[in-house]
Amino acid sequence: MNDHVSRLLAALAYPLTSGRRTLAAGLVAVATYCLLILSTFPTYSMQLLGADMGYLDEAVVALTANIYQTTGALGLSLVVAYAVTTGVALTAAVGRARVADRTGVRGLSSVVPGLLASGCASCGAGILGLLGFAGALATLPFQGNLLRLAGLCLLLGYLSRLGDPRQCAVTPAE
Amino acid sequence: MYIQFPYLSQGSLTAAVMDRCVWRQVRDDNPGRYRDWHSTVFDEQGEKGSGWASTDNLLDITRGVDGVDADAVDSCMQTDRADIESSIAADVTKAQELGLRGSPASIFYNRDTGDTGRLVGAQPYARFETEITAVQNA
Repeated sequence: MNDHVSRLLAALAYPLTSGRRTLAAGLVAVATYCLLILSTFPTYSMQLLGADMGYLDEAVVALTANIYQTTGALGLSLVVAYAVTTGVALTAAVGRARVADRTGVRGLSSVVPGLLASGCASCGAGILGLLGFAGALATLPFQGNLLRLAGLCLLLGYLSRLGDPRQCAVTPAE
Repeated sequence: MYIQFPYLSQGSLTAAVMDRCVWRQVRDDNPGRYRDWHSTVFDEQGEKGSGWASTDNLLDITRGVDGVDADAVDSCMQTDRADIESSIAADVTKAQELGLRGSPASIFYNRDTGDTGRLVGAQPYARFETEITAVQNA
């Protein structure tokens, strides 16, 4: 248990180990946040951005207000936490892939499954809306907060296995 | 023209039925009261699933709107509810056929040419101007 916690903390701290990593994690987090927010009302987002990408800020602000009103501070906090964790996870995954390239260990194949498993658990409600389930987010238990929490737990679980991507854990021989 | 699109819960349907009852009650003598009623309900809405859209609570809200006879609305709810629900179900089916999957959504129709436009969600005013102009000039 302590190993998992220490690996999780190491993974969370990894983007802070250089300016480039911090910037990369921040950009991914912002992009993920926009994607998650826009996916809460996909037909609206697609129509508005299809007309003019200049509406991106307006759409993000409007849907942020909407998600706050429908799911409360908890729902919005979960989206922010999911976006930040995704930024950390992707940065760490790239770091692990680079180390793997140098060491000859399996590369992306060792990190992609974890990210895919986390995948789009949080924006799943948006995809439901895209498929035609009207008000999918509002009809889900706790307005989709449970789905967001599940996605966040998967990401944190992935990070707790990954740890600091620059270090490889070696299991001692018995 | 407003078309109801209740999809969240039984409360949504109750509110949609009462909306029609209110309109029937005010449309001949004082149609402007409908907007007052609609705004009041919007302002006083509660949390989803809290039961705020029950018939009793909506009638209480209605009693606070000048020019709307809550007793007449109550009577309509009791006698005409089934018919209105059938009408709303037909509207929902029609809206779905038009590709609408949520609310609010707006349809623009040019009677002369038959051309239509559609906007989903509360989009900026400029988008409405653009869409209306496009349908008018189609």
